[in-house]
Amino acid sequence: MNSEFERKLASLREDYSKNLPAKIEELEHLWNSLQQQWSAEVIDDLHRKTHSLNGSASTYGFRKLSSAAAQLEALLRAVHKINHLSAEHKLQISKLLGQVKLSASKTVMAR
Amino acid sequence: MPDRRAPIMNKPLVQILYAEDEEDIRTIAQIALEDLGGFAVKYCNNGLEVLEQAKTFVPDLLLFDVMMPKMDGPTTLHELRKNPVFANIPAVFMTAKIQPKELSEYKAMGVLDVIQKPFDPMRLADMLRLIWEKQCEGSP
Repeated sequence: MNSEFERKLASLREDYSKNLPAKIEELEHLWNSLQQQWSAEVIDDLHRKTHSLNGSASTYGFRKLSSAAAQLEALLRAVHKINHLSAEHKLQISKLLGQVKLSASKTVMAR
Repeated sequence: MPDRRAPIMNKPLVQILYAEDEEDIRTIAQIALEDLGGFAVKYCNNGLEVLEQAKTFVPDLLLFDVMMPKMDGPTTLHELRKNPVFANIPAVFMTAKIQPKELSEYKAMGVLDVIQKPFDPMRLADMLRLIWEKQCEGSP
C-alpha cells in the first residue's frame, strides 16, 4: 500500500470525524422542526442528509455509524412515502437518531 | 451516428473528468484516484461545471455521480455527447441505486459500467482500470 495514500487517508478520516457533530446537529435540527410541524420538504431533506451520511461513513470506513444511518435512512424513506408521522414512527426515529449520534461520538473519541 | 459501444481506447487510462457533489466523497476519491491510481483528475461539483471544464479539457474517461444537484450525471453525459469531441469518450457512472432499466439506458449512452456507492477507496482506481482494460479488449 502507498504510504502517501495512507497518510492522507488517516488525515481525511480525522477531518471527517471532526465534522460529524455538525452533521448530526443538522439532522437533529431537521428532526426537531419536523416533530413540531410536518413538512414533505423537511423529511426529504432529512432523508437525503441521512443517506449521504450513510454513504460517506461507509466510504470513510466508519461501519457502525454507516449501519446506524442506514437503519434511520430506511425508516425515513418509509415515512416519506406515507407522508405522515405516526407516534410510533416518531419514537423509532428518535431512537435511531440517538444511535446515529452515539456511533458518531464514538468515531470522534476513537481518534 | 457514431457507435458509442466500441470506442477506440487502446491506450492507457490517464486523464479523468470527475463529478461528485459531496465534498466528503470527492476528497477521498481524490486520493484514491491520484495517489493510488496515478491518474490526472479534474474535479467538478455538478454537471454544469463539467460542461464548463469540457471546453478546455478532454479526458480519457468521464466519471460521474448519477445524482447531483443542478445537473445530474445522465443529463450531463447527454449534453456532452452533442459535442463531437465528446461523442465517443467512455464514461463510468457511480450511484447507490441502480435499476436494470437504467443500466441499459446508460450503456446505450456509452457508459462502460456503473460503480456501486459507497465505493471502497482502496479499490476505486483498480476498479476503473479493470473497466478500462475490459473495454480495450472488446474494441477492435
